Amino acid sequence: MRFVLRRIAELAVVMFGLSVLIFVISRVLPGDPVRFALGPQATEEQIAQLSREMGLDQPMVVQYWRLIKGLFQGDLGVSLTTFRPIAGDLLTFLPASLELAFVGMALAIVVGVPLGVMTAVHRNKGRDFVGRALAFSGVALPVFWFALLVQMLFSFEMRIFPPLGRIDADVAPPPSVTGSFLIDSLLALDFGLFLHLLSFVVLPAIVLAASPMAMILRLLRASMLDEMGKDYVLTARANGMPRNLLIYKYMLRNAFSATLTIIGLLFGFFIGGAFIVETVFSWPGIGRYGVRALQFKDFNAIIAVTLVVGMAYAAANTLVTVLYGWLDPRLRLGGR
Amino acid sequence: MADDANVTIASGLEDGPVSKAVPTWRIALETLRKSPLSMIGLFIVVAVIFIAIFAPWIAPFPDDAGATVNFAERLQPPSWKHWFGTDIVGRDVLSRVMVGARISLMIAFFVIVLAVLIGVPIGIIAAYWGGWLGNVLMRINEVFLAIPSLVFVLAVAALLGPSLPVVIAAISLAWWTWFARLAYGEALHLKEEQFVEAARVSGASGLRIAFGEILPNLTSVLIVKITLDIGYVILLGAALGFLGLGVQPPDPEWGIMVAEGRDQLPNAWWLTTFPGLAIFLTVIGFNLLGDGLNDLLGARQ
Repeated sequence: MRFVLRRIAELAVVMFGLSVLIFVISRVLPGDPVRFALGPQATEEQIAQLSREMGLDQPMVVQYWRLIKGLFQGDLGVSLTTFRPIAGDLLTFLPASLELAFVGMALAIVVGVPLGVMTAVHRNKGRDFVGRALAFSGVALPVFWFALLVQMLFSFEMRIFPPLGRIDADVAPPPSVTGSFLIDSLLALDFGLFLHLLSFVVLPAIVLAASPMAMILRLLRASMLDEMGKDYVLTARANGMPRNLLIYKYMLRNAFSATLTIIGLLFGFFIGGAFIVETVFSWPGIGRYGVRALQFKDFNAIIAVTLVVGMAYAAANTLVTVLYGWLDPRLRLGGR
Repeated sequence: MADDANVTIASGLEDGPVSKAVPTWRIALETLRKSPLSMIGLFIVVAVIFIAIFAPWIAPFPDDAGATVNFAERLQPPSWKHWFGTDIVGRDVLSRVMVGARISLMIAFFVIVLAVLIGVPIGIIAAYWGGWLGNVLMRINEVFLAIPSLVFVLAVAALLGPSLPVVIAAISLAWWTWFARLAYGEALHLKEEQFVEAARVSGASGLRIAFGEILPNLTSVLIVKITLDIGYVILLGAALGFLGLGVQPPDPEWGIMVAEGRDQLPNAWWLTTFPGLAIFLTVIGFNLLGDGLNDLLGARQ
């Protein structure tokens, strides 16, 4: 319990620091967001008025206080391009992002874990070499390039999957229950619609999963090789334990705990990757929203997206640390 | 438990100042040669650096790197004259890719230099002096780590207005944290070593111990980290260029070239394929070399 409380206290410190960091960056950096938002024809009065409405004429401390107060009230300000509340927009786009991320994460695990085990078991054979080549390629792929190649090949050339979007414009989305179109279509027992939706999610999910899959494969291979050199494996073998039971029940379980340490890194990959993948595939999620905000210099939306994404990321990492300590009590004792 | 004891003894030996001496370059090269993957990496890295330095002289159409137009030859597929084809205004894609190597390597070079110069001293100071200072420094470090690099860099670049110096500054601002973290972990370990103790007893000042005794012993870990990170910085810089928030046209930055080629898909496939392939191969090269160096220098994870 003390372990959990300490992590939560640390998380609070990090979140406070993060809000200060983003606030400082957004106020200290040169450039006039208001002038940019209103365009070159804006008069000085208009600029002054919008600045006043945004509270930019107040002292820094007051501005920061308003940002934090808004954050706790779920108010992230108004977009400077659409003039709609940002918090509402983010909530609208969140389910699509989560859906894509979950499919991608599932894909990365389903492909990466067996490949990691296989390459370790068949070390230095042909299969190992193919697996490692995949691992090296996966982390070196520029996500945006891979996305375009996949789109060109499977959508434009072979016409197997649709190139853009989440659903055809003339198809009605399923009745909203969870917000995830895939799950909602299953709940509505509309399997035709499910397949239609699935065809849209396949390509972006593959692209999003490539790097994390490679990272899982590489780390799992290394830790499986580590396990192989241990005494208990030798003992189990000498006692005639079936090979598959040994590999999948005992070694994999031990190797997994090392793999858990990179989950935080994987989250980072998924969030960063989502910005690019959603943009290339026009997937209506938070990543695409964020990139648009950046490209249009939508000052308020940039701050809101960065803050929300950073906080979600920090919270997810804390959750992993807590879970990890719960799985492996030794970690609760050691300093950090 | 016997296992743990063995591990401690083994790593204790490795960490000793004597056996951790950096091998001479001859031995290093011989060892590296035994691993074909590392040799491929080394070859790619040397080739990319060579191309980056000499691009203006060896590129077939060096003028095409800038804002030239040659409408007579627009959107030509790959041929003997134009190996990688030509773009929408008739510029030679091969020449632009070659000159583009300069931009990507330059970004990576400056980012790594800045990140090392900021991160490593902070990490060592935090580890060696510890206390409230170390605590504050590492908390600041955690705050910077608490946001995915790409998102942070995009935000800074967008707010500052994209350009080459901004890209370098923005990525460095995100990247020093990794070096601080690495130096912190390593220095914490080295602090307990006998040679550091010996220096302390013989009256060396804190600064001298931190930078005269601890820093030199970080060299091999740093070399590995730097080699691997060059690849990732190149990827990040290219992603910025692709989203229009990095280096600006007409500079032949690889990410921008992929973005420009996107409008011509699927017909003019060469416009996106070749610049992307250049990024991919360069990053693989640095990764393979970094992995080889990692085995060679026996650096800890």
